[in-house]
Order: sequence, then C-alpha cells, then structure tokens
Amino acid sequence: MHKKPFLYFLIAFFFIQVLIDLAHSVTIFPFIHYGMYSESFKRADSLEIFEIRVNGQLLRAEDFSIAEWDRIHGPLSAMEKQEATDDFSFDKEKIRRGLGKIGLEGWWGATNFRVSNDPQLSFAFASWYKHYLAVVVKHPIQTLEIEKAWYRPANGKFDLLSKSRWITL
Amino acid sequence: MNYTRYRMKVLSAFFAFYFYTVGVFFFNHLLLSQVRPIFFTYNRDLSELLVIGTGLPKLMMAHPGMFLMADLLLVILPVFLLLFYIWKGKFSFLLGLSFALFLALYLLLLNIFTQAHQEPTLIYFLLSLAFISNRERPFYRVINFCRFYFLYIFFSAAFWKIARGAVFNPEEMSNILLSQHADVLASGCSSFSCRTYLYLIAHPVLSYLLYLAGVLLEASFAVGFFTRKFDKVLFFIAVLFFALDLWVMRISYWPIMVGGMLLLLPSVRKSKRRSRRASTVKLNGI
Repeated sequence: MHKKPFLYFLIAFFFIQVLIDLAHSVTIFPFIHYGMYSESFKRADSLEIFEIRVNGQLLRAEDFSIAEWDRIHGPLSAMEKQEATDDFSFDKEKIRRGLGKIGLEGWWGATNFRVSNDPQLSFAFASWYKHYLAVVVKHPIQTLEIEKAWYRPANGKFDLLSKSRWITL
Repeated sequence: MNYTRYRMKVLSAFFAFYFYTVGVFFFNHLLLSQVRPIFFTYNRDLSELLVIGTGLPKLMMAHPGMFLMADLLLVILPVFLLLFYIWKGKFSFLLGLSFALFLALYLLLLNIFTQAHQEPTLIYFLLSLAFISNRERPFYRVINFCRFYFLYIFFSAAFWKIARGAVFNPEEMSNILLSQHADVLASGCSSFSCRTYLYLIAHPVLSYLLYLAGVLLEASFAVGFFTRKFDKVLFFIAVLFFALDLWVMRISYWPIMVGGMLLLLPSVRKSKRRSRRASTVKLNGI
C-alpha cells in the first residue's frame, strides 16, 4: 500500500517528461530531453568552421584536449547564435506574446533591459574572447583573427567554398 | 545493510562524484568566476527563462563578484551539509533544501552563460533531494526514483532514435560524424581518432552498425524497469557506452555515472529487509 504514492509520483514525473519530449523544442528544467542525434541527419552540402589564428598560427583541434577545444569553440558558437538571432528576438517576441495572453505583457516590457544583452556586445566580445582564449592556449595573445569558413566535404577531403572575416584584434 | 550504512554509502559516493566534477570544472576553467561571462543565451528552457526574467544573469554580469559568490556556494553548501551530518548524524532540512535549490539554479546559470547543457549533471540535482529528509521512506524513494531516471535516460534516448526515424537512416552515423567532427577533419588529420572518424564516414554501413549497436545498448536499459538482476551488467554497459561516446563523438557524459553507481548498490528492498531483520535480532537479543 505504501508504495502507491511513489508509483503515482513516478508515473506523473515520467508523464510530464514524455509530454516535454513530445513538445520537442521546449524544456522545463528538470524535465529535459535526452534525444540527441535522434533526428534523421542529412549529409551537409557545406559545413561552417571557425578558423582561429592566434599570433598568426592556426589553432588545430588535434592539438587540444576535447574539453579545451569545446572551450575554444563554445563561446564562438554562442556568440554567432546571439548575432544571427538579433539577441534572440524571435524567442523574446514569443515570450512577450505568451505573457500577453495571461495579462503579463507589461511585466515583460518593464524587464526588457534585464532580459537583453548589451547592444554593443559584438565589440566587447572580441576583447573578452581574446583574454578568455589566452587562458586556454596558455600563452599571451598579441594578435587574434577569426574567420568563418565554409567547406564542401567530398571523398574524405574538404574543399573551401568561401571565407569571411569575423573578428580581428 | 541497515539504513544508516546504506545512507552513508550513497552520501559518500554522491559527494565523491560531486567534488570530483566540481574539481574537473575548476581545472578546466569552466566555473562561472573563471569564465566571467559577458553575455547570456536563450536555450528554450522555461525554467531558464524564469531565471533570465528575474534579471539575475544581467545583475551577475554587472557585478562579476557574484560569479565568485556562486562558485563559493557551490562548494561551501555541500561542505556545511556534510559537516552537519558528521556532527549530528542526520541531515539538516534547511541545508539540504538550500543545497538542492542552489544546485538547480547553478546548473541553469551554467547553461545560460556557458551553454553547459544539463543532460550529464541533472541527476546530481535529483539525487541531492535525498539529503533533505532524515526519514527512511523518502530517502529510499529518491534513490529508487534516481535509479529509474538513470535507466530512463538511456531508454528514452533509444526510444526517440526509433520514434523519430534516425535508426532507419543507413547514412545516419556517417552524416552525424561529418557534422560533429567537421572542425577536426578540416584542420588536417593525423591522429588515430581522426583517421577513425574519416574511415567511419567513408564506410556508412560500418558506422551505421555502430549506431545501431549504440541504440540497442541504450534500449537494453529497459530491462532494469522490471528487474534488478542485471544492474551490474547495465552499469558496465553504461561505462562502455560513455567511453565510446567520448572516443567516437568527443562528447563527455561521464558525470552522469553518479546515477550509474546506484546500479551497484544493493536493492533498496533487500536493504530494508536486512535492516528490519537486524532490528528484530537486536530486539530478541534484549
């Protein structure tokens, strides 16, 4: 008899978990997805790669541990997303509309400053990243260049399609 | 094993994992005060949105000393919780609750600021709920629940790969590897790992078989929902899975093994039975 409440709790937890899983794009911590690499992957025609040059030297993934390479790449991917989405304006608009439906639109408007990144972030990011990267590569950085390069994978090789300069310091 | 000993075992294993994980974060300069982030991201998690809505991330960026405070609390709260337990022989409700809530907040902040996803660390929060109450039943319930959750992580991963059709795509693993390792492959390949990625990408059938084997390994955790007989086998499957994940995918999921250690503990039911038997023997002795 005493097991029933626990059973109900388990059922409720997993019921919510499955609902969140079905919702796909949204989670509510502690109900998160474990569905990585579950969508059908198509072969990419082109792949974007950050090419990072420190003091004129190109950083190679193989010269770093997995954790270090993640640290090098993580902020760049996040910053790229922040720029591409105009500071997550689509998400913010959705939230504003959602809150509007329950009469809380004003609250979101009043907190706009608190929920947005600095409009001058792109400039600040470059020098912040330079300091951050110096810790990872374990030596001072005099010059830093970051390019976005697009490659086409073909027969085990990568053909360069285009490049664009992103950060230069 | 009686309740006190069982609880002590869980407590020791949990905090060994916990402090080791915090230590790894520290040595990899991943703690908030070491990163000193200057921007935050939206990751489409409603709990994270709530944290962002309170203005806390913005406040922390304006006062970077708060990052250090958060890191200190990450260490001090569990130390106090442990000291209290050693001193009084029981948990403090207030310290237990503070630790659990703060850990949840820290995990949310970490994802908001550094995109450190919570998949490998969420189970620390769920397990920390075991240290709130001193009563036997809630403790065992949390432990049982976390064991189920650990099994669910694997099972749901397999389920979604089947339900969303990935497992029926013969080029799936080859395409995943190409996207996942593009930056490693494009900058010139000389290591054994890198050459392995290239080989697997060029041989989709082989890489698909590897993917399929991974899905089957994940799905095998369903057996744990019905019996504890194979818990030790499941533990070794989990170790094997994460080792391969690290090598083939360059994804480190090892902190999640704090949940795996629950598979090595004797079953809660057996523990309760032995505990009851021991108290009966003691009473008879009196």
